[in-house]
Amino acid sequence: MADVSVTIPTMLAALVKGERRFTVAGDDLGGVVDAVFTLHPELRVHLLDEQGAVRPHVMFFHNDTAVRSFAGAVSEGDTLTVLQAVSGG
Amino acid sequence: MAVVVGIGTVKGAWFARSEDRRSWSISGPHQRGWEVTAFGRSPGGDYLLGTGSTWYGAAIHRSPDLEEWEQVVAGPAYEADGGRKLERIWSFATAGARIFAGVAEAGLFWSDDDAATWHPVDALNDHATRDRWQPGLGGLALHRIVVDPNDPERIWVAISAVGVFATADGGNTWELRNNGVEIAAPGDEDDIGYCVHCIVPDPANPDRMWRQEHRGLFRTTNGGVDWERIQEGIPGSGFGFPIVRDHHTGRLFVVPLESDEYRTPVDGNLAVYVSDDDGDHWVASARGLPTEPAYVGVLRGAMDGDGLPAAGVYFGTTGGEVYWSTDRGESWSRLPMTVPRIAAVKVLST
Repeated sequence: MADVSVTIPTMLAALVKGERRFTVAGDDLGGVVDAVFTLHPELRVHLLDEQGAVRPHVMFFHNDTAVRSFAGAVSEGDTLTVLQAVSGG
Repeated sequence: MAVVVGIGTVKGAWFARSEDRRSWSISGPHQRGWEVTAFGRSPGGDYLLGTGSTWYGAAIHRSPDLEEWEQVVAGPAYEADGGRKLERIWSFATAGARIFAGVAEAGLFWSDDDAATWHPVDALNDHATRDRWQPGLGGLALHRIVVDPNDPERIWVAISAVGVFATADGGNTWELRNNGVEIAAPGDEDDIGYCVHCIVPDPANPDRMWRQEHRGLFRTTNGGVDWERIQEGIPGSGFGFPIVRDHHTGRLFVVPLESDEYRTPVDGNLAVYVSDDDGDHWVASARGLPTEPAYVGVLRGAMDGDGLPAAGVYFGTTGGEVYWSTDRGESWSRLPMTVPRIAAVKVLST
């Protein structure tokens, strides 16, 4: 298990009592994302669509790398950043 | 008890409160940044609102006091393998201990545990015509739900640009109810393609219902089996979105727009039109509304009445202004604020 620091956008933080940054633990990136949804189940519907895909205008960055699937390994101290994409202007 | 009016905009919600319906206090924005598309009350009394977002999808939120809100985690959702997406929450309606939500992509959901967990009404959501449903300009939305207070097994729903459906068995079977209305979106068959914008019942007898359509104004006296056109006195084509009925007096309220092409008041004259004879005749009621050109619209969910004596009626515009009347629409006043484009105006308590 690695502790990963997660940052979410302000609009989503408002749904979880303003908690914009928090730490969760996981064995891999998929485990980290699952831990995010366990801690804050409100977030799932806003980040993933019904089919489980990342919403088109949501960006996930694992450290400095944009990811749209969660199969990668994680290390202690990694970051996972969720951003609202600027697509559409 | 205070009158509370919810105002849902593309960038959050505001609440207007008044003890006397003359002076108003306003709070907001709540749910800042989110489209607030619907308001309601759960069977247990919690306030509900529906949020949506281009980025983050749709959800229901609840509050006991309009201050502290919490998201409903087990809200309406389509099956993972169905290919449909929940885009917006457009309406709520209660039937005893049951509550319904109408959503886009068009569908109906229900909850029997005070809006905590939601389930699809499969017989409607997978109706035999479903594969041919196509969205209108405002999306493929189930936006109105009418429940017979005397028999909650009888329910009507309105879906644009599909039509009105009715059930008499609590939602197990559904029939189309659009005879007499002109199709707005022609297809290979003429059973759907009716672009209903809003319906409002006589709550004492919901077999009597009024309908603001893409193609004009209509009414039924037999539960939607047959509809007749009623727009004498209405300017333009009869195109418009909201329709409200004051249940004390029976007065009807609409806001006609020029046409589906322009979607603004004829010549910029923003006016509410009222009818005191069930829609046979309509006259303008614009005292207190802008005298200068006002090329704004009023969306289907952005007008409501409070049902109190000396009927209160409230509406919000696409320009972000809210107008209110407490004399049955004889005169109008404006709340002292301008907010983003308004999608929903709902009286939440009286």
